[in-house]
Amino acid sequence: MSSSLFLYQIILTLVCQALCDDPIKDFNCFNDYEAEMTCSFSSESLRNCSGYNMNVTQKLAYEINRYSCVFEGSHHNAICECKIEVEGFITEEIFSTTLLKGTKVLLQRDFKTIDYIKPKTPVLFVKKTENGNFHVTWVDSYEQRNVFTDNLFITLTYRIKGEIETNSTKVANTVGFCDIVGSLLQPKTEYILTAKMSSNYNGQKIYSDQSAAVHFTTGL
Amino acid sequence: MMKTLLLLACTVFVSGFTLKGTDAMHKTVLKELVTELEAVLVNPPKETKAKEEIFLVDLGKKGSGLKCEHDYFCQAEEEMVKKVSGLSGVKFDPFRTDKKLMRNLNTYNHQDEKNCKKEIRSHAADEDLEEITLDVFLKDLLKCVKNINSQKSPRPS
Repeated sequence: MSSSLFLYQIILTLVCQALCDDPIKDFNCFNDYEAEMTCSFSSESLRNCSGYNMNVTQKLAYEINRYSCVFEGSHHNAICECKIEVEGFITEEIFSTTLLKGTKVLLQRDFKTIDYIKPKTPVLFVKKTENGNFHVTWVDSYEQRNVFTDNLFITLTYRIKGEIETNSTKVANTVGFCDIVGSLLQPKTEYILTAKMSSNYNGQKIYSDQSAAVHFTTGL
Repeated sequence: MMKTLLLLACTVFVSGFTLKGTDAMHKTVLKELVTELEAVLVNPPKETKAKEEIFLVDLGKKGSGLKCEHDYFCQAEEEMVKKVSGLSGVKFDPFRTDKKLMRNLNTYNHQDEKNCKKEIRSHAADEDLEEITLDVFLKDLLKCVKNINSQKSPRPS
């Protein structure tokens, strides 16, 4: 009896593996408009990313580029990620992606470059000035200055350490700095500052990952 | 009657947004073309291995001068693909068909579902075409790109 039950369990598991695929959620591909496109997805019962791979076709003016990559788990839970290196991006070009598990096609989707620009994560620096203000500068991590970097914006967000309420300000990347006025802050208080970048190319609808936090402390 | 007016107003409103978005995309491509052309003109390739100048058809001499219309850009793309893109040497890398300059030029020529083939064919029968150096050709192209880009910019109030 128990061996029959065990056999039924094995059969059910095998059948389910073949037919009962967990739906792939949030499959998306973003590009940094420099050299990298990153695709990722999640799944409710994703234990690991093995077996998942992707084929990408990029139709250029006179040729077709083909890429493939194998998904790996990211540091986030239950998310699989895959990166391809691209030789420069053009706004209107389309990447046709096919997500596979083994040889089984799970989904196919097109991504137009301009709609999926996700800028690189900025790196922040803050320096206290003589008059008690805080001079914030950043690096956008792009190798060259060009039309694209001229159309980036940085959103700076700061809050008192341990508190939830935040203050934000958006600055054009070309400005290069932002001064936080010390007299408008609480004295002898530690603040945490973070930032995200967005691009005018797609109406700033996609933000970069959040930068590493920098801390600064106000005076008397 | 009211429903018709509302529908009409909505259509005009939406189409206004669409045109604005399309114009923005055109400007982005044009601005990137300016960047790439200026980069190449800073250090233009002047010679092939055989120490010969590179000559392309003077597209500005056709008809009545440099008109910077769609057919000009199509012919410019065709000339560059035919005479420069395939030249060997690192200095000609920016002109390869998989590099941003040519890809952007192609994108510009095919925006709004435009097609180049018909326009190029209409000039195929031209004979005794004058030729100019690659450097001058690129400067003409840059002039036209800037010209079109300034036409698409919003007028100052």
